[in-house]
Parts: sequence; structure tokens; C-alpha cells
Amino acid sequence: MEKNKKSNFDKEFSEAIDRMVAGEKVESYADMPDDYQEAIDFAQKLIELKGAPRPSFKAELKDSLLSKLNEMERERPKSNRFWEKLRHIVPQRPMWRAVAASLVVIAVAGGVIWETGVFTQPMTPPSKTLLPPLQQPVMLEVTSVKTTYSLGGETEFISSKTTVVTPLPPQMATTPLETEHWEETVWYSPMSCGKPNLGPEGSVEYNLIWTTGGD
Amino acid sequence: MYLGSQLDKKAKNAREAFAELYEHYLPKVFRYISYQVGDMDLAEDLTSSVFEKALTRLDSYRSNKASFSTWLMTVARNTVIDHYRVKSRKITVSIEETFDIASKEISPEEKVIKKEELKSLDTYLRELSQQEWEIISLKFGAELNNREIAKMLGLSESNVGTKLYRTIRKLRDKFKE
Repeated sequence: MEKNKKSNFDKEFSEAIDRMVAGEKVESYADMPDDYQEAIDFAQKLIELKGAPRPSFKAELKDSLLSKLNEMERERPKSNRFWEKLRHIVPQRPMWRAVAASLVVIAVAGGVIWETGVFTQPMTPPSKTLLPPLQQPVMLEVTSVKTTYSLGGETEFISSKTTVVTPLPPQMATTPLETEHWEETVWYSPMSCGKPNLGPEGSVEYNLIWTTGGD
Repeated sequence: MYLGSQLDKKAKNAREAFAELYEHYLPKVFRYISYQVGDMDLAEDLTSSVFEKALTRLDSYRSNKASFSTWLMTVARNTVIDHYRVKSRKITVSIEETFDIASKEISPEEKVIKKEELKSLDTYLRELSQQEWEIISLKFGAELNNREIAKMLGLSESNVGTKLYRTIRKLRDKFKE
């Protein structure tokens, strides 16, 4: 019983500290034992220790980081012609409000037929076929099964048609249709960074963050 | 959550998104490091290093694993730990020089009293254990909640609450002596 009471006071104490740290004025904690009240009052001194970075340091570091970010953005397409190609492939359409994504596949060697369910293991094993080598990238439109998203949530992308991709393994990348500057709007997890290879029965998972605003 | 709202809803491109994150998190990272190292110049150097690392490693952040603030503060904590791996823990500059007393509206007399208080606090903070110091830095510097601190230090949330209370009480008792 005593332990529970103490634990509750600890919790209330932490909540009071959090409010103070956030800049709120904490006045009402009269139900707490004196020790806790005195500790809350004392915490105010620790909050007053709050220092701030010098404005000149803040500005210089920001400039330096933004330059670095620009460099990174410039280097990325240069070092990877794949991304450059995609810019020309992605159609320039008006914004498609219902969430949809286009998937571009570049074949490297081999052959595979894809069936519905691009990002997930197919329900039936895909059949194989031999086709002449395909040099051009193939674009496949896929639609999300969800219309709204929660942060960190998963969704499945479905294609309405079967697409033949050859040769094997294909290399893949994704981009939302509504964007013109796709590299700025789709971020990848390390796992899916670049161009993952996909085998005949393979699936690929992408960790994407849409940065398009408003939806 | 902050990263999510920034990237999902507001930011139009990586540059804007990063700039917004920078504005929001720079003071917290800087204050956390200031508590840890007690030296303004060193705190600036390490803060720069944290943001450079964050920029190049942003792809490794997974929003379903941890909040962005926890991730960023973990980068900050590791940067401080790496620093002390090379150099043994030694605070050479008084905390009163590191922390801006900031109370520009107070009278010169009050400022002198505040400075004295800060000096004492500086001494007592140095006497804390590594973990106690860490909790104080993460709470008052980085402004993390107990859950985030617990995740970073491998403690339970309630344990962080208890340790936070005990550490503040310990400081207060020393201050009273």
C-alpha cells in the first residue's frame, strides 16, 4: 500500500517536472508530501540552468548542414544514373489525391512474371517464362489498399494487372505518382535503399515516408 | 511524432524538413551535451558532430522503433561517450560559463546570488553518479520524458521516475546544507 502511494507520488512528481520543463507553471501539488513539494521547487533551479546555443553557432552550423544536404542531393543522381532515368520515366500528371504509387523495374538478367500483390508474397507461385531480354525499364502502377495512414503503419500495394519482367533479377524502386521530384519525397530504409534484387518468388518491402503535405 | 508530422504533413522537401528539425532539436541537443561536458566550446563541437551524423544517418531512423527525439539523443549520447573514450571525464570549465544565466531582467544583486547558486549546483552535479547525471541531463537538457529516458538507459519507466526524484532530492539536500 505504502509502496503504491510512493509510486504514485513519483509519477505525479515526474509529470510535474515534465510540465515545468515544457515551460508550464506548476502550482497545484498540495496533496503531495513536503519532500516532493520541496523537490519540485528545487527543480526550478535546474530549469534555470537552461542555456542556449550562441546565435552565431546556430546559424553557422545550420548553413554548414544545409550545404552538406545540398551536396548529398546533388551527388545522389550523379552517382546513380538509375535515379536520373526515373526522373524522365515518371509521368508528369496532376496530383493524384488517392494514394497511389508507381513502381519502376529495371531488369538485369533472367525472367519472371509478376502477379497481383507486388509488395507481398504472391498467393500462388508465379509462373516462369522466357522472354527476350528487356532493356527498357518497366513501370507498374500499384495502388495502396489503404486510404489513410498512421505513422509507422504497414500497407499493401496491389497491381490490377500482371506484368512480365525480364530478365531476372529485376531491380526495383518506387515513387509516388504525384511528385515531380521523387527523390525528395520518398525516403528509404537501409534495407530497401538503392535497387534490391527480386527473385522469381521473392517479395520486397519498402519503408517509405511520404513527404507530400496536406493529405 | 515530431518527425512524422514534419515529414508527412508539412515539409515539401528534404531541405525544409531538415531545417525545421534542426530548429526544434538544436537547443535540446546542445543543452544535453552542455550538461554532460560543462564546456561551451566542446558542447558546440560535439553538437555539430551530432547533427552531421544525424544528417548522414537519417535513412537508418525507423519511426516504428523509436521516437525521433530518442533516436537523435541516442546519437548525442554515443557522441559524448565516444568523446570520453578518448579523453577521460574531466570538466575544466565552470558550468556557470556554459549556461547562460539568461535572466536578463533580474537586478545585478540577484544576478550575483544566481551565480553563487549555479556555482554550488555545479559542484553538486559533479558529485552525482554517472547514471544520476545522465538522468538529469536527459530530463532538463534534452527534455525527454521518462519513457524515452528509460528506453535510452535500459531502465523501467517507473525506475526513472524514482531515480529522478531521488537525484533531485539529493541535490536539494546538499544545497540546503
